[in-house]
Amino acid sequence: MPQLIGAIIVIYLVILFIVYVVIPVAGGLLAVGLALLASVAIAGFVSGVFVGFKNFFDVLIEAHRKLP
Amino acid sequence: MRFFEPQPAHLVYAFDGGWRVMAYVRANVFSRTNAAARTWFTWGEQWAAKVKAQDNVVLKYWHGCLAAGCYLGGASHYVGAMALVSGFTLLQFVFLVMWASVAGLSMVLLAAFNIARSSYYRIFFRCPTCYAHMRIPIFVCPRCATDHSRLWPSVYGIFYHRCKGCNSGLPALDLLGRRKLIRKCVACARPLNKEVGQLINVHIPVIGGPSTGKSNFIFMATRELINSYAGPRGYSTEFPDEGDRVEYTRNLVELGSGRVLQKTPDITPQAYNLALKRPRERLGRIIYIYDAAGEAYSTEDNTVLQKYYDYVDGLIFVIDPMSIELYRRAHLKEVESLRNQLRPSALGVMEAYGRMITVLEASVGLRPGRKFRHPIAVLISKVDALDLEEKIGKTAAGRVMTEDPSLHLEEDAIHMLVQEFLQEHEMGNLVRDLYLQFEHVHFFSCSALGRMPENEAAGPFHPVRVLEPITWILGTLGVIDAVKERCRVIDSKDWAMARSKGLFGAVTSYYWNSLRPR
Repeated sequence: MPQLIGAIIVIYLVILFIVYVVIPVAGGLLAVGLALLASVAIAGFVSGVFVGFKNFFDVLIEAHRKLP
Repeated sequence: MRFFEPQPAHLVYAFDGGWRVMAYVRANVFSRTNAAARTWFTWGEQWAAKVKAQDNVVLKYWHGCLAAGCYLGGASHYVGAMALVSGFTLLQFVFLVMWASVAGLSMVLLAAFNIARSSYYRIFFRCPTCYAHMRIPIFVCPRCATDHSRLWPSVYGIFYHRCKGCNSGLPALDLLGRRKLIRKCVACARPLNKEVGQLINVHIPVIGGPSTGKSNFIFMATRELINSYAGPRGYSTEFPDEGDRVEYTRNLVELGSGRVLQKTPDITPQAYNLALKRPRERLGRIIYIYDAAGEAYSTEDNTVLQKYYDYVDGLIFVIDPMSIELYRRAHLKEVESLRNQLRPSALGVMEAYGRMITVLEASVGLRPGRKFRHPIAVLISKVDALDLEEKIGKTAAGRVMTEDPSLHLEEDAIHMLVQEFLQEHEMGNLVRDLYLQFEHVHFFSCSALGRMPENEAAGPFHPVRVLEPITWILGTLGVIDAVKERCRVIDSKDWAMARSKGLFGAVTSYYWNSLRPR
């Protein structure tokens, strides 16, 4: 019986370790990765919109200047 | 005539530039976006390379995330560009289609209005030199002298065309100032005067053999029309062509000095234009008077060159009494002794008349049983010579009017006398044929010079009755109010005559007896 209780406590401690240490650390690492991905993608999108607008208006003005 | 011809002008944005801009934007926005997106893909490739080289799982994962972020960022460049180009293309398409539709509709409406107006009022562009009929003349750009053959509402502009030569705007409508531009004939490229195509056309050829006195008649009649008819009635007259004005002035100086005009050399004459406008009338008339040399009627070949018969509205047929065979034979001695002054026409009256009818039939066309609707004034010229004034002039007219009180006007008496004169001189077939062929015929007698042209010392020429034929023909065509005036004169004479019969007699005579056919 005392051996069973000891095993349960160990399992409990392992679970506690996994829940409070492993998962948060792994989640944190994953979240940092996703945040990096998202921020770079957003930066790319913003740059894309800016470049798109700039190119569009440049081309539009150029077209009206070049064409009769 | 083709309605569309490529012009040295820029097409309207909705028919050309707008679509080219759309294609240019589509082609160039993506190529430029591609360069920026490539940078992001390169960064992505660099991070991806680090993923492979890295042993640490966490760093591997983070580098992978960074690589994916760069790829997504690069792809979003295309998405952004595509969204912008699609939005622009859609808006531009809708805008251009709407613009083109409105422009097309305006073009159709304006063209229909112009065609209907010119057909209704008979306003046409006809060259006074080569007689070409054109829907639109060539307009010359005032800055770079480029020719524009279709300066009207079209794909080159509804209201203005932009000249390719100098980029200046040319008005495509008369209302906007097109009439001020220099215009040229499409066939002979000669400049057209400012009133051609602006006023209602009236074409009157003066026909007759050589030396019948056509030119003298035309200039004297024009002078009388301007000074004695138009002036007192408040009509405005103008020579739209400076050349015509100069010729008119020069010829009047000649005639005023007692010198006869030089013989007309042109077999195919340039029309002599006179613009005439009644008071308060919105649209005036432009009269084209054709003075072909008498030789134009000497041969069939020359006569068929008179292409202006296609448009003719009225005719003036001039007869030299000395060309009437019987009259010439009867006065052979006098005619021979005065040959230099009289200058009798060598062409027979019936020959000239026959050729005129041939051309008229070929040009106008005539259905069987129908008459020509053109009024024809037949006038015997040179009545100052020999004893003609006594026979068909004022004196004879006075006598006839006394005998027949129903003839109120000298003009009507002369009309009768001239017919009798022609019949007496074996020209009855001409009189009959004229009545058979034409709906409106009137006979006149006149002398353009008023006296024999023996010497200059005798002073200026004073024409006799040259105004009547021209006012009759213009009145019949509705150009001037001569018919109304004539009715008023006859009516006032009728009323004066009726009043002399007392009240009952006046009423019976004026209102009842006048209904009886004469």
